[in-house]
Amino acid sequence: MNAIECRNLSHSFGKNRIYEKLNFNVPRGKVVGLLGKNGVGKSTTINILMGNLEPTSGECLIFGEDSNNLSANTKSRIGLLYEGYVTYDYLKIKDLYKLYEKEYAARFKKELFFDLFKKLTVSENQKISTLSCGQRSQVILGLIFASDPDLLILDDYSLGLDTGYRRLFIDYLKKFIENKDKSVLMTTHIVNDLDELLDEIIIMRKGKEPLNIGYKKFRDTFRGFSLPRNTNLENIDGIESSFKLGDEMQIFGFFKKKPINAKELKLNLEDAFLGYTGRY
Amino acid sequence: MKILKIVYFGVFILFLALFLPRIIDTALSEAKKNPKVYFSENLNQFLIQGYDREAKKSYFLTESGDELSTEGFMQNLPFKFYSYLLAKGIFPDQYTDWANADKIRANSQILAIKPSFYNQKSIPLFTLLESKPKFLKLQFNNYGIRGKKDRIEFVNLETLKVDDALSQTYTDALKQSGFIFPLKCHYSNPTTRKVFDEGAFLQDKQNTIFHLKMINGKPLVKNTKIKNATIKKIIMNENQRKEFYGALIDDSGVKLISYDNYRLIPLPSRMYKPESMVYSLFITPLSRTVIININDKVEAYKLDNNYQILRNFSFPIENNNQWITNIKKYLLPFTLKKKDGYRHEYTLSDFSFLVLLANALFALLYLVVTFKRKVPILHFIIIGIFGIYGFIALCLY
Amino acid sequence: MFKKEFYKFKDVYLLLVVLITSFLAYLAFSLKNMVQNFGALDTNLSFLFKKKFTFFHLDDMNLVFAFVIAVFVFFHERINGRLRLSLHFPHSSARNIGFIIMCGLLFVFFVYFVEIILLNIILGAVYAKEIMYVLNYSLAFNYVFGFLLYIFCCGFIIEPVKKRAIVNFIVMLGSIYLYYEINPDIYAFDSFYANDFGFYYMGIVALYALSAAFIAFDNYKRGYIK
Repeated sequence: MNAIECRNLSHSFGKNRIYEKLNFNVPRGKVVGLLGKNGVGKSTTINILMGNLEPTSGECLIFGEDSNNLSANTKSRIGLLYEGYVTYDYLKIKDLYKLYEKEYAARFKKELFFDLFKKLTVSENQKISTLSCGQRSQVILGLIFASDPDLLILDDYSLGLDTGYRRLFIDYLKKFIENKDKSVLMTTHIVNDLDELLDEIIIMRKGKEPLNIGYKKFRDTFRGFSLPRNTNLENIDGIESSFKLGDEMQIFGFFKKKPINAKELKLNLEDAFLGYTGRY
Repeated sequence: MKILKIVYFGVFILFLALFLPRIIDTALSEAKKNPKVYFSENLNQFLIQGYDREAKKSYFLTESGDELSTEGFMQNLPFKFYSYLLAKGIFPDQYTDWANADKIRANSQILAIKPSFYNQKSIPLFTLLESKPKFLKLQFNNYGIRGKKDRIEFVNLETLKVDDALSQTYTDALKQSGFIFPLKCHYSNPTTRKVFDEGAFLQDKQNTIFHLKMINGKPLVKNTKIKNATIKKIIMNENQRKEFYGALIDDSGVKLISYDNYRLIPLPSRMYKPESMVYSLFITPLSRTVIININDKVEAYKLDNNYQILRNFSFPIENNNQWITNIKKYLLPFTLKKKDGYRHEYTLSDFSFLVLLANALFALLYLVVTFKRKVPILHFIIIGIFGIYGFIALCLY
Repeated sequence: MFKKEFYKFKDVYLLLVVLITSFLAYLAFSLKNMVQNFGALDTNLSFLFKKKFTFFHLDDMNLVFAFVIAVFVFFHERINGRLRLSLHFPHSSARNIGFIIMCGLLFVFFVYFVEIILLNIILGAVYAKEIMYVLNYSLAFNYVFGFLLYIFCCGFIIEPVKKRAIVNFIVMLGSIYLYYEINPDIYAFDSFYANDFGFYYMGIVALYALSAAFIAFDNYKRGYIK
């Protein structure tokens, strides 16, 4: 059973086609990273999933319901984080807390909120608009975690956060999903943070089929090699991208065997991601 | 959602039908200056006073088309401009018997029924003046009078308390005269700026008109025997000539209510619509005339002393806005405009079939505007019916 | 949830309530002076025969009040696309939308309600009940149009399609023109009861405003975010 199912999803803004016939699933209990460079349609997909955008064609199901027409019960099972930590900044922290506590009364776990909140040195009476981006993110994430969703959709959680807050977030997320009963779909531009966290990744590329692959498989099979600059690449199968750097040429892809004269590169997730999507 | 969109679209078309004609009128039409017509006793002719828009000056004409100077115009209307003529000593010789301002005033009367006055609906609370005031000067008493189901009620407007005794006295007096409650309407002339007071006319349940006056605080009620279900208004016009109480307007026109036992005297009223036209009865010592300002002309009637028509005269009003009317006929399939009357009541009117050509042009234009787009046939049907309104609505939709 | 809505316009609400109270006080003192100078009889008669009465722009203030509250309510939802959050609360979309609209409207209604009670106490002490009927009818009309202006704001603030937002704004301006034609201040009435039919027309305007509001929310949900 999948938490999210996207079938033949196509979307255009006027004449500008974002993507066509996109298919992917987020299985229950899995953490899926939706990755891609700017402009490939990550936010568009997230907006469709959040029910704020009607796709040109295709459908998107969340817990089996059309994402554009979710029942109240299903909505209560989804935790949404909007890019830029959008919230009611004109409220005080305690008012925002009360709002979520009331709206998600049946599922609300206040200890999850206060566990995160007490790490902040701010008063409950402080207005959200007066908090720093990091503090604000903790308040919002605390409330999302406290509403105990079965599915988390996190759009660019890392935007505006320093390393400390990003690490704090990842730590809490790991704790939140440790029972393997929560599903997560997340996007970020700081992909290295997701190492060891993801179960699956979806990498979107402009005008190409997205890659939907298990994280471990991707990390095991996607490789990079350094070759002399003037190497003829026509005889090498499986290249996804290449670029020249000084006297060497680097190639990335799913290679069945190591090319002649090649020196394997040690790739972290970001290197692999860039290797797949191309650097520039 | 589809129904909402139809409602949204439909109301927007009504909105356009209300405002587009107004915008056209406001932007293009010129103010109308209606000529005035008077009867000249010395020339035995009607005189016209108008305004020449091009020459930017007033003109004066006789009925037969002769031009008059301002002086000549005034001299030929001695009972209108008597103050000036007497002061200057140029009052016409043939009327030396009348060369007295007080005498002229005492034998003159003007009864004007303007739409702005006719189109009034009064609050169902009226007052009665003491018709024989102790110190001769008319003044309001403390009471407002309201009609109840089976009586009239005098409410003290200082304290808002009902005076039961006074209410009972007047109710009894009305009932004794045959008045059947409830009171349907009241007509009076509530001003102290008149020489004397003639009380009020009251319309009972059976549309009979009763005349009620307050004399020395006591009621004086008379059944006028006027019974008419189509009465629109009674306009009281107390005048020292004491020939009539005022005018009654009903479906058949204007009638005077005479002092001769409330006999009704019909006045010429052909084509007269009180909601939108000005009606004037001018009585001078030597003439009686009725002037009606109809939309495109002024109708004038010279009457004898019994208000029978001796002759009539019609003067056309130049309409500089005819071309706008024509444009609207060819452009606007209908308009939503206010009906004449006391309230704001908008009706669809001015339906025109001459717009079909314009509608076809708008449909063609729509085809150009939506070039390369798939347009449902319904859009063209909408433009076919609603013309420019449908076109604008669809373009903005 | 109430707090979430109220905090959008808390400051301006209190400011406008103070202003309305001042207008109300001015009206009360003016009436008191008139009664002291000319007597209640003349005050009543001059109303009856000369339409000598004005709300001293209290009626205009009522409209401004509803309009400003609506602007704050809906702009706060539009800023950063917060409406996306509001629509995601675990209720039906209709309920979430209804709450956003009705909450502010309820606060406007409360002020109108208190105002008409106070006005009836103040004016009812001087004017005959027939006159009070005319005043109350005019005020009721004023309040209903205030509610409509509130809903109109939704139609051009939430509506993401610029063309439609402009059309809705223009229709709102036209409706304001129509309102003042039908229900001006008492002294400017062509005739008492000139607004007799007004509620029918306001009904039609309400149909438009409500349709525009729901279409706006629907368009927003369909993805015309920004």
